[in-house]
Amino acid sequence: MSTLQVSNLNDGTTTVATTFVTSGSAKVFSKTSADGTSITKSFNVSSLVDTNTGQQTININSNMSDGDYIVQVGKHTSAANAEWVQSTAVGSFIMYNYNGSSYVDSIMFTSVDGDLA
Amino acid sequence: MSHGHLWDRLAEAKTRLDPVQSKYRVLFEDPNEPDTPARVLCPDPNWMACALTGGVLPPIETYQRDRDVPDGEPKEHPYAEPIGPMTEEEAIEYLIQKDIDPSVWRDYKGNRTIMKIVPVELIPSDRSFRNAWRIMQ
Repeated sequence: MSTLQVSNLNDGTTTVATTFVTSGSAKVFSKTSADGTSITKSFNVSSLVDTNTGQQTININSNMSDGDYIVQVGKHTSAANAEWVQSTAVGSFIMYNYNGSSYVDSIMFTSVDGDLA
Repeated sequence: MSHGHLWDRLAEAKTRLDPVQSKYRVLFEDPNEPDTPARVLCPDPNWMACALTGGVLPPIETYQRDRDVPDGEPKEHPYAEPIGPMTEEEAIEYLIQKDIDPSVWRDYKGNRTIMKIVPVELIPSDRSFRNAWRIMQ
């Protein structure tokens, strides 16, 4: 495999640092099964924990620099009406899926943006 | 030759390694939250491929030392020299030390069994009473 090493990219009018592109890439992504016991697609994930019904923890492989990163989370059902992320630590975060009265299992998607350690 | 950043190595490894589904899961209970049900840890298939192949993941000790480094400060594990290939059993032990709190696998002194490595077939598929799961003693 050959490597192209460039510091800047130029489209003819605008110049940006290569780090502008790499820093803008998703640092972590995942798609997990509804029961939280398997990972369908992922990058930079070391493991998934089925914490409880409707609650899954993603453990990150190459940690984030701090807990102030952005997680976009989605679910694969229209039945539940709220999904969110909590407890964002440098090496993990917890996803929740709630239907208004209880937590419910669902296929979950996540994408993380932010700074790596 | 520099071994680069862990994230870069993971990105490169994903292009050439096929994911490996582990035949193991780790069941554990959190002694700090005795009212919560047992949890089930599932290794990531891409991570397992890296662990079995070698040359990607850093030594587990670097993660453990980084736990004491404040957020925002430089960490050791992304730049540490990668370790060689592991067996699947060694990889599970590595993952326990990385992703499960030491209060479960190192510090617990009670009589209950609060952690077990089990074949994936032993995880119940019926989740009707998921919030009451306990490790059988």
